[in-house]
Amino acid sequence: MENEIIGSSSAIKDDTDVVLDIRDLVVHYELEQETVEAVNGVSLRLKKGQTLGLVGETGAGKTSTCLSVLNLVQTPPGVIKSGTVKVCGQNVLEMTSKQLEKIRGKDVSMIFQDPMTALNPVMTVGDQIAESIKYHEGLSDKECIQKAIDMLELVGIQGVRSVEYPHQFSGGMKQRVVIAIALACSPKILLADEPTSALDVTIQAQVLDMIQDLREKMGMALLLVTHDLGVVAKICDTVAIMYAGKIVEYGTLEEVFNTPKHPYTKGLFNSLPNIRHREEKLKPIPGLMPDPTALPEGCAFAPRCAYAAQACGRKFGIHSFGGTHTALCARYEEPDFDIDFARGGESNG
Amino acid sequence: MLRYIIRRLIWLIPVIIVVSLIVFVLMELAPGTVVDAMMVEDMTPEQKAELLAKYNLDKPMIYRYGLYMLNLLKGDLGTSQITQVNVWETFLTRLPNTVVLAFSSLIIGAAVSIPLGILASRHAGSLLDNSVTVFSLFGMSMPIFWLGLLLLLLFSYKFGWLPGGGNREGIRSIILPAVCGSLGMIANTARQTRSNMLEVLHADFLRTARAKGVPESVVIWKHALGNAWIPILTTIGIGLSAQLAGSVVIETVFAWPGIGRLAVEAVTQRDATLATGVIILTSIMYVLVQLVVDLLYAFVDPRIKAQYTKYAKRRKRST
Repeated sequence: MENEIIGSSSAIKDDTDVVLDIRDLVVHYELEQETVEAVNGVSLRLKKGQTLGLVGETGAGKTSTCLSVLNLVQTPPGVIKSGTVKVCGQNVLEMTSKQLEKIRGKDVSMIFQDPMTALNPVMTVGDQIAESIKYHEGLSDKECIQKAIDMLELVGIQGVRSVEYPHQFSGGMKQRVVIAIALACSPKILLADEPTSALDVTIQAQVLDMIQDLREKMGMALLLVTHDLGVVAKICDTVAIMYAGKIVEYGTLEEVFNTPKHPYTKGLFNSLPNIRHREEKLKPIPGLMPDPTALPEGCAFAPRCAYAAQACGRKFGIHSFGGTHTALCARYEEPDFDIDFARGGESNG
Repeated sequence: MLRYIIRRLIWLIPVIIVVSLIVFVLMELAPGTVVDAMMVEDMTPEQKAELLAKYNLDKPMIYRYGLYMLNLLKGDLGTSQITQVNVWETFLTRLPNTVVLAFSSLIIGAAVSIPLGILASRHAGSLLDNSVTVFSLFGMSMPIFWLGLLLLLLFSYKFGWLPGGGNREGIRSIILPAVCGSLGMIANTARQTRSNMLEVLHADFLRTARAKGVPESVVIWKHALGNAWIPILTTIGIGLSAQLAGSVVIETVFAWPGIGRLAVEAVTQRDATLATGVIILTSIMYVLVQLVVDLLYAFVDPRIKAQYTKYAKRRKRST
């Protein structure tokens, strides 16, 4: 299996089984005073059954990327400036609203970040799940409700609770309902936008297990958006690290976790606490994400990067490390450059 | 829920006491009595005194008020001093006219204002939205009697399409007063709908609905409007209560024989019993409509329904 790619220049090698193909996606939010450059040329491909972790800080453009797949970026102020997003071969950015209604929930579903606000407070959870089925599968009302009850039971909620309203559920249960809605029509692609970040740690594990379990059962492709590397390690097979609207590193889980190549990825790992070296201080990445309304030229990470050289202010190039592993860093053009990385937080230069 | 309804109905008692007291005091303060309205040129002072005594007008107000309340307790609203007809019966003969007019206004008002408000909210800031706002301000600030006269002048006098008053021509005669009565409601409700829809339109659950593939019209009319109902219902409820409680001005302008005009007739003829009875009954209607609106909230929003049941459960536990 070939899983590439970062950036537009990478060659497309294998088209079979590709369910989601994002190319050069640029999403801006054009406000009155300024323009927020949320996504700046993201390219991603997702194959049947693949689990891709999209990792990045708040504001890196992860959610905007996901919403673009459904063509649900709030307009105004959001504008998809360029790029293509192909779901099962069709470009969703060129679809009419009728066509979009057909694929949303059927081919692509999304689990939203905050289960507290993602459900309609005046509809029963059963109706909310059944609605998705009703518009996609042409079943009778009774069959839709029955299927909704089955979905509820699939996510571990008693079927009798289908007549209850969202306010009668706890946060974790609401997230299960949101997942049931997303899975109701067995989509080919599931976008999970930080599905666990609003939940308690104990519930997080349950929900993740469930998503993984159902993904395997239904054979979906999963795009998991998170800022939690632990979650990625648990369920993803491929990782994309996102920074300031660009994917800075991409590779299989082993490649990225064992030999991170981008200084930002290294910074992410170093800012994780390590149980074996408790006396050591955490090494947070210095500085903040650049203001998305005024991104620096060249590499957006350069101002915070310990390896930054003069060239970084002007350009960035994709460097491949064999296999699928790529990083967006200009320094790799120097033949003997490498970042030193060792798990456990040994000091670095 | 039942307990809540009973509690609200008990509140009717102070309302009735206060309203009736105010009517009695006002009638007392106003110059002239029903006897003046009945006076014929050649009446002797003795005859006049006799009439005054007949209606207890020679006794202090507090005596008449006490007597009235005592009869009210027995369910007797008395008889009109002018027509000698039972007040309750008079009220009942006029009530259907007012109800028909009020609900016609309500239907026109809701059917126009809610789509208008939704349209304005979905295109907030556009020319359409601004026109709706201007129209609303216009509708709210325009005196109804003037508007009514304009409508009459145009559609009845000039074009002769519709009757100029009364209720004898069925649906044709109700159009003008209903439209006139609905304009204020349209203005208020459209504004209310617009602002509530604006609050809901960016809610996360609409995004969830769209992500499910729900058609946009269903997203707006079911998901968004379903969450914006309560303030809209309140506004419509107030409009309806006002109409039911005798749209005095409209009924007068269009010579519509409803409760509002009945109250005006009673007051101008100093018919204290009729006036007090009509006003008490209309205030009861007002309170009841408000109660119905409050109960409707529970059907619109399950969280409010849950509060009622919680309240009942707590009561049960404590007793």
